Amino acid sequence: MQEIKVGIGDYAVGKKAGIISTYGLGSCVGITLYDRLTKVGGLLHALLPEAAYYGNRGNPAKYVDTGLQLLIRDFQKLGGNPRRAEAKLFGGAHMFTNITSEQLMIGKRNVETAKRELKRFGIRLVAEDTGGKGGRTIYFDLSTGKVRMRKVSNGKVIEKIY
Amino acid sequence: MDCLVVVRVEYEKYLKNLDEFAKSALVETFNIGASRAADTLSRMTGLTVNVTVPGMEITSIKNLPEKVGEDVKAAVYIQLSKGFSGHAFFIMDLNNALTMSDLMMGMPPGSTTELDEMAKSAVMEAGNILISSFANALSEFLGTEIEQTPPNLVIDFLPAILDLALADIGQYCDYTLLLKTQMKIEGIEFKEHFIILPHPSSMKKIIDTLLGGLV
Repeated sequence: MQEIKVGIGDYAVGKKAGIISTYGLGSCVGITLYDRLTKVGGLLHALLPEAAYYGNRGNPAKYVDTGLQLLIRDFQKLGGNPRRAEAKLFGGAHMFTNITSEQLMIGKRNVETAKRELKRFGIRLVAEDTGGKGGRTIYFDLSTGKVRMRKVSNGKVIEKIY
Repeated sequence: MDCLVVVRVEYEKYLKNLDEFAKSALVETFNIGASRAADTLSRMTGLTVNVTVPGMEITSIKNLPEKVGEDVKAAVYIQLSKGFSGHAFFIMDLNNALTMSDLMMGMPPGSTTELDEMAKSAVMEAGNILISSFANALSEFLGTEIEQTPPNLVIDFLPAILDLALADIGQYCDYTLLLKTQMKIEGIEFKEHFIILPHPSSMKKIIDTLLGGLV
């Protein structure tokens, strides 16, 4: 089966068949969108919350808000409808307990921004696995809209389907 | 405010256009830090330790997960700030972490079979010694004070471990410098090792210090 790998500050869309995956979400967030009717889906892997806060520097797909705009644009091009779309949200962990500066509490801010932006576009959030201390890897199945998530818990990899 | 933005834009250009001379100067500086780190660990444990930095690369943040792979690793992380801002990781695969724990506790390799609390603290101590002495060497070289957070040990997918550092660097540019080291203890080769992700401004500082010394 075809697998599209999404990097950091990167996104991809597809239709009907194949897997879109992204590896090692730590404080980053992964957002999936799926339209059940047309089987169009997309995945964004964003590194930082709001583009404007960082002066809109560089690659727009690395920010949650501008990245989501790009994802929705391409999702629509393939025939996805944001009003029918179901969103799922993963990541936003706080990996290191020795980091306490508010500036680097990126995970929490990424999750908050993702929820706010989805709401702004009127997209329903139907599942999430966010926060905590561990990283996540996700595999998004375009034929079903289901997301297989791998997470490390006590040194072992566990799997969950959303 | 505008001025700040201009400076940030320049980091990306600066990083992408580093010439060979500047690159080798940087690698040399990190080698000095690495050899000091090896000496300190050797002195504290009585083991033969060798750490070198064979090279570095400038890589886009986007492609980093593919570059480092998604394997589960053990990592000791310390954030550096003040005179040198950056993120230092001492990374091992899980088998190497068990061996490291044996070596630190003076047991024959193969004795530790599980990364329990005891083993974790031995690994954390090794990482702490290596990163701290590396930072001390840099601090002397730059003639500036470097602040360090306490060490933290995590076991997770490698790209997830590096995420926070990338988020910090990603505020300024889409590229980062990736330094990898080679490490041998008592003749045993350790894979993966030591990753330093310096803040773009700190890299510039090192190069300026080096070039300033030559003119």
